[in-house]
Amino acid sequence: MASYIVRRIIYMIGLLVVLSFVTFAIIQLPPGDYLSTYIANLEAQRIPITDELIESLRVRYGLGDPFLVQYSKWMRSLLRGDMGDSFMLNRPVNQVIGTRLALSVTLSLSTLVLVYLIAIPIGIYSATHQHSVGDYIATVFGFLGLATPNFLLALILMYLTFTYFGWAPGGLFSREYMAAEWSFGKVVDLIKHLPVPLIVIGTAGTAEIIRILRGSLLDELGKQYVVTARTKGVGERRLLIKYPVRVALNPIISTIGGLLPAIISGATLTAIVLSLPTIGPLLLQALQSQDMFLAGSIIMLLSALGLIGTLISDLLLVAIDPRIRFEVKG
Amino acid sequence: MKRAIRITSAILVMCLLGAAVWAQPYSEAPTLEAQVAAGELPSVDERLPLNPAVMEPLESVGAYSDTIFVFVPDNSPWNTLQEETERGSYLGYIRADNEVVGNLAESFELADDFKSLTIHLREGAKWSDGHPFTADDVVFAFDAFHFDSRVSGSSQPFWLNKVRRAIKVDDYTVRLETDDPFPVMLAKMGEPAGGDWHAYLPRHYLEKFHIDYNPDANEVAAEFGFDSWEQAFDAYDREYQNGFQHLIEDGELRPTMQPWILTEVTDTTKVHVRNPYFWKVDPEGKQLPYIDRIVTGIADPETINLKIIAGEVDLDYGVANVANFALYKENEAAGGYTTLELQDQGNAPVGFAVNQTIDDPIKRPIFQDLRFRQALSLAINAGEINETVFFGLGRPMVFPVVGTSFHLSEWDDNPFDGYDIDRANALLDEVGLENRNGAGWRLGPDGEPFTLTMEGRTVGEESTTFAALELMKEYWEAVGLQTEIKLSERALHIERRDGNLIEVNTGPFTLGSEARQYMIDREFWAHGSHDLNWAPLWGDWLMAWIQVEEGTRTLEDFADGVLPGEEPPQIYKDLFMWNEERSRTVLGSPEYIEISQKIFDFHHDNMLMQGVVGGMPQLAIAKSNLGNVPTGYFGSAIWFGDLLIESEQLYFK
Amino acid sequence: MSTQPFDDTGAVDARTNAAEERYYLASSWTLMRRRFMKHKLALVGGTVLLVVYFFAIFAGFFSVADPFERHPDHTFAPPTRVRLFHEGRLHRPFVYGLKTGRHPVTRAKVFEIDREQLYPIRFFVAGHEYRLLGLFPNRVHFIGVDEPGVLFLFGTENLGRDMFSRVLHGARISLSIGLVGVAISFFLGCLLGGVSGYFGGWIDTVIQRVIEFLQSLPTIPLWMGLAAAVPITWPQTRTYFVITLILSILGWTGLARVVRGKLLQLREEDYVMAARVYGASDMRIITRHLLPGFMSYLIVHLTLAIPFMILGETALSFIGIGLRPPVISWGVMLQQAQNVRTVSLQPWLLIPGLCVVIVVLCFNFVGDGLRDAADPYK
Repeated sequence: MASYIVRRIIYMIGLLVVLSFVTFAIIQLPPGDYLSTYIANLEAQRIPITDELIESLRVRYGLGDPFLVQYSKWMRSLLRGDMGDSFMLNRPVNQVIGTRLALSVTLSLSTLVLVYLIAIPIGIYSATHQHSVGDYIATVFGFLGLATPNFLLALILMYLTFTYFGWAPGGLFSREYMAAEWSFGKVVDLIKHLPVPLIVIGTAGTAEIIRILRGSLLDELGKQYVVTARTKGVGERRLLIKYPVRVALNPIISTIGGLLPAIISGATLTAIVLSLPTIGPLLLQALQSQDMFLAGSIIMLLSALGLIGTLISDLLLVAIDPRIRFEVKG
Repeated sequence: MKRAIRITSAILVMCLLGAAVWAQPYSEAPTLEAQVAAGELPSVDERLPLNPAVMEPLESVGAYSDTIFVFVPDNSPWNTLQEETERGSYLGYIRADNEVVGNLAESFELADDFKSLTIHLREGAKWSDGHPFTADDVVFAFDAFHFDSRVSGSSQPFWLNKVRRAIKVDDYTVRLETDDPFPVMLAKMGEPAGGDWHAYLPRHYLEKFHIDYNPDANEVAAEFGFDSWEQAFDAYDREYQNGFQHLIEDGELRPTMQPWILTEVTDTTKVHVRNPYFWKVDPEGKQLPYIDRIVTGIADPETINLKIIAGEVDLDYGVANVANFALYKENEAAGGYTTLELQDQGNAPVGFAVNQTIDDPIKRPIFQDLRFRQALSLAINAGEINETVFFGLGRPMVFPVVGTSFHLSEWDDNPFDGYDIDRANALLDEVGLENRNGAGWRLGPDGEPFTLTMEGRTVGEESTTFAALELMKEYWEAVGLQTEIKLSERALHIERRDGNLIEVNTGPFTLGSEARQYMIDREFWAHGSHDLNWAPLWGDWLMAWIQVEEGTRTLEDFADGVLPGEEPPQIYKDLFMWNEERSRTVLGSPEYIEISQKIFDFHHDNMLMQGVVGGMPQLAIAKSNLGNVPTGYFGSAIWFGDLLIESEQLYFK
Repeated sequence: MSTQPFDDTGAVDARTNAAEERYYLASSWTLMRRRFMKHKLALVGGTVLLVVYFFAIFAGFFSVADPFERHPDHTFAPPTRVRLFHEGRLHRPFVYGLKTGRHPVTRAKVFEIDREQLYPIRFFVAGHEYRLLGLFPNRVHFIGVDEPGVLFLFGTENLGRDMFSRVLHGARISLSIGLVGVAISFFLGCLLGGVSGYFGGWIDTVIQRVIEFLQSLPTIPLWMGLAAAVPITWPQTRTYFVITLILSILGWTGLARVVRGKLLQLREEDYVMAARVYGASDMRIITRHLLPGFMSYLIVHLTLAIPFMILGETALSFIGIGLRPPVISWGVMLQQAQNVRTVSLQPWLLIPGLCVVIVVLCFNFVGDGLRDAADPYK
């Protein structure tokens, strides 16, 4: 097992290197560079732009260098654990990401818990009551979340909760707590702001899990061992929980790979509409202004998390289902 | 000079007012009283200058208040309640009657030969850290920053191209000198947000970074993590453009002369706290500002709109958009705010400019034909655009300049403001586009369909403007010109514009008031405003050429020793030089009126830049309990943000 | 003989046997259809989809006005109510005339019903010209009212253009993006997945690595990078194609995995071995024996991929890198409606959003039904 993990990690590192290169190239695909964004900003402030200014900025940001030089500079600093400086925010990327990471994780983890709490019981119910009215209602509601464009749902929900419940719209804090120190009041205020994002972000995930669980549970329920157990007089509840549900959860565990990066950058569009200070909108902003170190570093972070997540879910699968053996990959 | 007399008399009145105030004791905010009592701060009399500036209340004298909440869509410097440190507290400002009056400076004297400007500072004024504010800070700004080509900030603004020397006369007096007559200097003194102003910088704070003032500057730079002193100076010289380096890296409060000090900045909030040393009082002697704290939240524009109607925004002047007029109006009572319609100064939210130097042998002669541009104007139903897109709030206006001292009456019933398809068609027939294909599109002289491409910027919030472009496309297609709209993100747009790739530039047409366009940068006259650039190649040539003429650069500075761009026809060189000439005249003088007339008549007649709908109000949102909110534009202001010059008198009733 | 007491039962038995026999002899497709029919939601979903696509194909015929025609006096007009009663009496379907004005304070257009004027809804009326199926110039429309009456079933937008007609025309782009995108995914997925699974070895390794690589790239930056690289001078049709391509880039990887996995499993089945022993060619084995074996899975996968493409189109428009006006698509329309003003004052502009929800929902139901039916022998 240890050698398997080591091999996987080596392979992951290789993939990350390729990824970093492609990422860096993709970020620079759009015409122009950060300087054009910067100049646009200066123009908006009516600051006269001279050739000298442009030249000195180019040197300052290292934008005049060829692609490979820029890339290797970035890689070298990445290896030192330094993700470079963000152009647009003029501070180290580590710091920029750090301030947003806590809120991203809080938000995503609470969504995740909510999603599992809602989706797993519904999924089990749907599978055990296939084609019943309850099954249909659960399916419709589950899929409704999946079918609604999140950005639209976010806006509408924000508007409705404001008009009908008077909830302060947008962000994670009321204006009084925006710049306040952490206190009991601030925590309460945060909790009051969570429902809308939780609902919007949660709905899509819920549908996905209901569907996966329902499908795989249906498969399991038809199998011989379930029938045998039933004839032996095992109680329905015990019968269900003991094996089929456990096995049916496998596909959900394999989605953990995708979950880790989603925890950090999930629901970018929702976060933009709701003005949530998470990583997603920052990444989008960085991409739009071609702030390449900031964008590149976030993407690398997400990719690395994705790969780690896949590894974890593979290991978890083995732990949960003894039938699965290590399949040694290339 | 009559003008100098007028200014001095204004100053005299202000001094008298100041003296009257002196008779009564100064008072201060309760939060500061506590600090004084605790011995953390000197008394208010010691903190104020000998002769503090006295604000003229817009409505009434106010009361000290706690916190004002504002929301902005991004971190830009101009949209919190105050501008960048050295841009907000102007030495003087231009009033609605174009008079320049003292502000942070007590008075100004412009020499009769227009070659020098003497600035008298307030004795005893102090930076927010208590350090005296003196002539040294002004001289430092020029010597260490504007005149020093080693620091990249030395992108010389237009008016500085002429200022050659900054001389300290005494501790509170500075003289700026030019070689040529340059009366615009005085107006520039009061221009808010007029570009890279920075007339003063905190010398006691910045000099450690500059090699001329501190031989160990390189060591200091290394200590701060920079490679060289230039880099370090560059990172600390200007507060906003440099991303609040001082606060974020060092947690240090940068000395300021503003009403509030920036104390906290994250990528979601900014906090400003009152400056205990602010140098202005109200007529009752209360030290300003009235409001203790500004808390600025950064949020998505639509979230801000929702916060506006929820009554969470105390003051907004950047997000509020004409497209949402009905939304704001409908929720005024529930949200407890007022929608202010600030009458703009002829500002056209949509304008266009036909590129005179387009790189297309077929299109260029036609674009350069005045009749073609007239036809484009006549084909547009501006009245309908006003009604449909702007809810009838503006009016058709081809050349949006209003209320000037030079002659404008004949522009008021401009024949090209009208909508006349037949004439437009006739003019297009005349310029050589008379042939049409089966689909009804006009053909160029080469027999191919003659197409037009309008380019603009994608800004989510500007959807009203996009609707106007859609209508223009429809109108032009109605006279047989196949038209396309291409929107690009603003950085790309600028690249395409500067690369001479855009056929028809579109964007807002902002000339502003007379005082404002009096001091518009020279490149405006070379190639048009940023958004309405009508001749990128001629502009490049003229801007390079004038630098060679003035001796700031030589031909060798340019690639291959030739001027970039393309040499314009004589008349465009003349236009450019007329403006240079104009900058040597005094606003409102007979010479000024004559030359301005020539410039604007030329522009007006040649339709190089065209507005479509003008006279649009600028919307602002103010909570009903907020007092002393500016309700109109004045002087050189072209946007509401400029009115922040008076933000210190805002208070809650 | 004729009155045997057990005759009845015998007949019943024979009938049951016949039914069972039919069941056991039924082709897999018949069985699948039966299972699918049992999924009520899937049936409803499928029917709705057929109707929606029908409307989209004949958008010109069903639309009331030209989608680009402006009604300057009717900007932001709310949906017109079709009525059946006039002064308390039953009447053929009609609409009242509208008097328009401007609200003195909010400056918004206000519409007042003019009960004096009745405009009956007419069927198969002559209207603006369009091309039926994109080929045949035509003027006949399904419904309409006489001038100067107006019929805005879904209201109008900021320039006074009929939302109903725009939604219909938008459906063409939005719905076809899903189909075209899925077709591309299908082709790439089957080809590469098939090759990978069937041949195995180093080809398999290379393809699997590429897939893993593509899947580990975060979606948004990938989209943004690619979309921003599309030159703005390109015509809309080419942009449309590129955007579809971008959307299907991630689609095919999932499909290829499914195909490969199934192939690996089926490859070992006895009947494949038998075919190989018989000397059947690789191509024949793949197309005749393997593909039918998991066709149903492919169809399920595809049905579920379409809604993601449709949602993807709206997401691209939202971040400003998708299709742009004057192209009419649901995503473009939603992007313009994505503001508080619309939600508060002109909610009918959100109808394209409702359409997206309905269509995506239906595709999911159908996909679900197909999945239930996919393995008919269970």
